[in-house]
Amino acid sequence: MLGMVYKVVEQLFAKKSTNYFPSKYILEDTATTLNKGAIHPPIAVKEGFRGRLEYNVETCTGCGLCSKVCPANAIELYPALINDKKTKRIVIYLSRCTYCQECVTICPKNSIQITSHFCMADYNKYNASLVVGFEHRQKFEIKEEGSTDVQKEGD
Amino acid sequence: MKSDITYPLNIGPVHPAFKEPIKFTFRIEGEKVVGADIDFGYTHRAIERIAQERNFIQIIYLLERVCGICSFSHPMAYCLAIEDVAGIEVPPRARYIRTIVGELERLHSHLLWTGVAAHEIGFDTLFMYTWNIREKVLDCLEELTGNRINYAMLTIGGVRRDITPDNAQTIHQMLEYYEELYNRTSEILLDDLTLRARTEGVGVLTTEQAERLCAVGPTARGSGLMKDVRVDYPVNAYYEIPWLKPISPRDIGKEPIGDVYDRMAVRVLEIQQAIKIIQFCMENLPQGDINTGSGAVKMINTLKKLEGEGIGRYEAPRGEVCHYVILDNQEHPVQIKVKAPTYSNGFAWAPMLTNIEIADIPIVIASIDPCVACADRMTYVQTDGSSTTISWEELHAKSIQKYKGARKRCMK
Ligand code: SF4
Ligand code: SF4
Repeated sequence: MLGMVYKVVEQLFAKKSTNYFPSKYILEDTATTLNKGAIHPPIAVKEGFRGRLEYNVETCTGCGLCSKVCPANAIELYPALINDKKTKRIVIYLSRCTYCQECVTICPKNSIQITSHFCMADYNKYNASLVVGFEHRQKFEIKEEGSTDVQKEGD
Repeated sequence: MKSDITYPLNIGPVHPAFKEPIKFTFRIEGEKVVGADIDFGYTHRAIERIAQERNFIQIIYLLERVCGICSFSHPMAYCLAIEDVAGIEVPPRARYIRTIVGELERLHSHLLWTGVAAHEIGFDTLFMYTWNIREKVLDCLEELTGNRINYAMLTIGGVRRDITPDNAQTIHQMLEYYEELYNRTSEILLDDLTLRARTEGVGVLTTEQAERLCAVGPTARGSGLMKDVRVDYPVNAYYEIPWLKPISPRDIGKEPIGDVYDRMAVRVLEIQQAIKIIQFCMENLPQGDINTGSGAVKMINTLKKLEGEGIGRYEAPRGEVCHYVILDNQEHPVQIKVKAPTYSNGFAWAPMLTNIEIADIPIVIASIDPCVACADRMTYVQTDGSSTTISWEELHAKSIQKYKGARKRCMK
């Protein structure tokens, strides 16, 4: 009986063994007062795991091969102005991506790389964190008259 | 006192006893089920239609998502069908790797099924146990392919990833782990009194019924039919395995009667068979290329110039999966037909579900390892927002019309 009481008290003050998810949304004061914001690092994945994509805007030539093979139509080509030349660049919507790695295999310039990063949860699927190449798009995109921002519009 | 009243019992479309939406209407006499009516069509996803909007490479990943467990078997059958039309020769090493991944999938699928079956009869400890040991093969698949479930391993004319010496090491460790555990697991699954009491003589599908209703896979083999696509129409590395034969409960010295126990026995023995096949493939893994070397775009351009029809058959963990494609000078197949194993096995439910107790319904339904979404066909059509029921005659005429068009394109 006493052992049980001891256990209950212990549980009351024990640190949570689970993580808040997505942990970046935990309230600041909750995290500090309860000391529960500390993240237990996830178990490392094996080599070759297919996770978040990385995009190199410098080496990309805008050939559009990646958007042709992408099974989820997660890659969007947009007209861009780079070094005063009209060309094309891509954004990848990770909320649609199936992580098949087909774009990585096909890219002739190795502009897309796959990483083993997998903690990607977010509340808005059009957040900058879930759109690879978002900041380049803001910088380079040629805005047409009357065009609407897809990322703001949602589905 | 004998009661003559028969009353209907509706279960579904959404019910905790089933993993997917499907509706059953049972006719009940007391505690006995005397008849069953099955209503499909609640989870149709129009994959065949969506496939017509995508190119040959994109379809592989679409078909991977036909079934969450057979995510290797469906694209495998599709690739075989396309390779059949195009006459693509798959390099030997790729054929062996395909066999290895296919058998790893069978291993994890059968372990999953034993867990589900245990859960359906309320034996949750066994459910936890089998799903715990299943993690090992999932880890192995993750290392081999990059993902636990959707492997993205296949491409037309080969595979996308090679087995490195490190991977081989992992596979060997995994095989050792399962070999050690196999005797203990099979002892629990095949000799445990609780399990035997709940499964023996329940949900009987006789050999004649299985043959007449075209059952496939472990369901057919549990009823004593010796059929297995891996043996009858071997693909990949299967025809190079001399000792491969269909599993039946006779292998543990039991004459099959087609009850749930027999189907379980077949699956348990197939776990052992899968381990042996992987061992064989690892020992005889040839060197060489892993695909035809032409990239995705080149492959699409080659296939774009082709006409004709092709068929791919593959033994998925649940039975035969069969894909039929028609190519007609386009970037996508103009027609693709998917036949999942549950489409064949679903009919076997009717005899199985007669003369059982109400309490046995979940385990009998789970015993064919159903995958409702894979097998679903649309039964209602929406015209301008209203739903219409099509009569059998109308549907028949429509199907003939549709396939006449498709065949004409093929024949020209
Ligand atoms: S395939 Fe590579 S180079 Fe071509 S558009 Fe995509 S990222 Fe850029
Ligand atoms: S990984 Fe696959 S789904 Fe994701 S962007 Fe690349 S091709 Fe598309």
